[in-house]
Amino acid sequence: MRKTVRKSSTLILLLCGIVTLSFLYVSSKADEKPRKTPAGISLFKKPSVQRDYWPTGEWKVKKPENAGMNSKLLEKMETYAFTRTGPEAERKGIRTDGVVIIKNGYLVFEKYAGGFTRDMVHITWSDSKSFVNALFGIAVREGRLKLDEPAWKYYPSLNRDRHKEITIDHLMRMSSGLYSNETYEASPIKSTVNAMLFTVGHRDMAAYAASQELEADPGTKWEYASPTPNLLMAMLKKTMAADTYEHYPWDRLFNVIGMKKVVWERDAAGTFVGSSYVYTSPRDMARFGYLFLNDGIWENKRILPEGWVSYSTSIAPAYYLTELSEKEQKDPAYGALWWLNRDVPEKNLPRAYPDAPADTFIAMGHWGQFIFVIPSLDMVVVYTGDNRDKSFDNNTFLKLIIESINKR
Amino acid sequence: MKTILKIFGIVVILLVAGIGILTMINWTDLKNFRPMAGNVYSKFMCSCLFVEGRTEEQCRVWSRVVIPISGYEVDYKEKRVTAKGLGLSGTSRYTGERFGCTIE
Repeated sequence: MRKTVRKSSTLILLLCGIVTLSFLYVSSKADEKPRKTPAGISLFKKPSVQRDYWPTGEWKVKKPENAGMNSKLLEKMETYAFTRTGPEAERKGIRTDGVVIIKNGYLVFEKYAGGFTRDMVHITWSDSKSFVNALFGIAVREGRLKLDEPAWKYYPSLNRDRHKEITIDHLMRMSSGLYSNETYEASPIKSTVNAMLFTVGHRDMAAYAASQELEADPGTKWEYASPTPNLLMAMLKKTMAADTYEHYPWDRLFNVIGMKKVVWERDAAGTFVGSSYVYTSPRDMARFGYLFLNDGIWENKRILPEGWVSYSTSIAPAYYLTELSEKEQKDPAYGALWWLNRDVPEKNLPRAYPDAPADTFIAMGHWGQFIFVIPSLDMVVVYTGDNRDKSFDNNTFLKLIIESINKR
Repeated sequence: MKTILKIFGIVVILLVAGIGILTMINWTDLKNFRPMAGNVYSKFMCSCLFVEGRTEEQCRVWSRVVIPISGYEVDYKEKRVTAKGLGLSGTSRYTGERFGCTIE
């Protein structure tokens, strides 16, 4: 009898233990649910001015003085950006190819070097990603697709495992979780950028992007990944006829805002290389920045959907959840295919360029290609270059420009 | 003297084995990497010449990357550039005013 009592009490104790343990396990799982992410509030505020003209034809030129800038002080920027050090073949130091400054809607500064002239196109590298952003804005406005739709709807091979949870929004905000190793020179043989552009992936870059395994659940990790915009450009193709797609960037964007000369290279599958291969002139890059400065409105007509620029300039929710590398902490924050020069107090991160306003947003490309949009100063600054080392400092460049404002 | 030789021999064997193991581990990456040299250079050169319209001299400076190439050839009539590196050649072709160059 006693034996049975002892036996059953041991059993009961064991059962209690199991129940407690499983309860603890379940509640710990509950804690793992994604923390509430800060709302992605944008700092974008459209300059409150009535435009007296639109640069669809040509940019109108003003002396810096007539746009509230001091040309003597602006010369400091010119000296900083346009002094080449060392022979051409060594490719050392600051190697600026072009600078264009638009203030209050007028072209106040323009200079070219390195064999480039006003009418030549320059590779923009990853500035291309921001062009992809604009095309998606236009496509959303046309009702071709929606941001919260699953990506597999437009790229069927993504309809597998957890890949099917990837949305268009995740891709726009570099939060798909698809594996990526974003280095050009540091680890050339392991780089997914190199593989995509030049080796195993170059024929069909979107297929290469989609073939990657997930390294995180979709929407939980922010990681800058060049294959992503190429996947987006292939998805866009699925929403229209092939010959419409071929002309789409020109018909709906470039020609509309008067971009005179744009080349957009494609891969062998005919997909526009959204990660890297838009070529255009600094004046045309300025037109593109000006479209975003004006909240997606051109010639008083809406080109991008209402709220699109705010969406593009709010921090990607996954950015808050991600443990950033040292380099990523120094880089600007990230929105949707645009970089953001803003403080991120939630992560204890100061803005990347302390001397530029916090509402500055940036298209940023390899070897120094930039479109800086600064709504609070009603300004667009374009920079092209061939900076192979780290000599050129964005903050110094912007500081020297901004210091020339409102100084007589 | 003999000990030095012995140590030297061991170091050499370890080095060779190390390189061998590294190569084995990274074999797929290395194999996939081989077309890189020719493809990068031909693509850079093609876009620099036919898209940006710069001079061949400027483009040679711009197109040079870490991996060396053993030679290149520009076909100005067909607007094609072929470059050779790491024993493989890569070709890029200009496909038109809007669409620039694509690796073949």
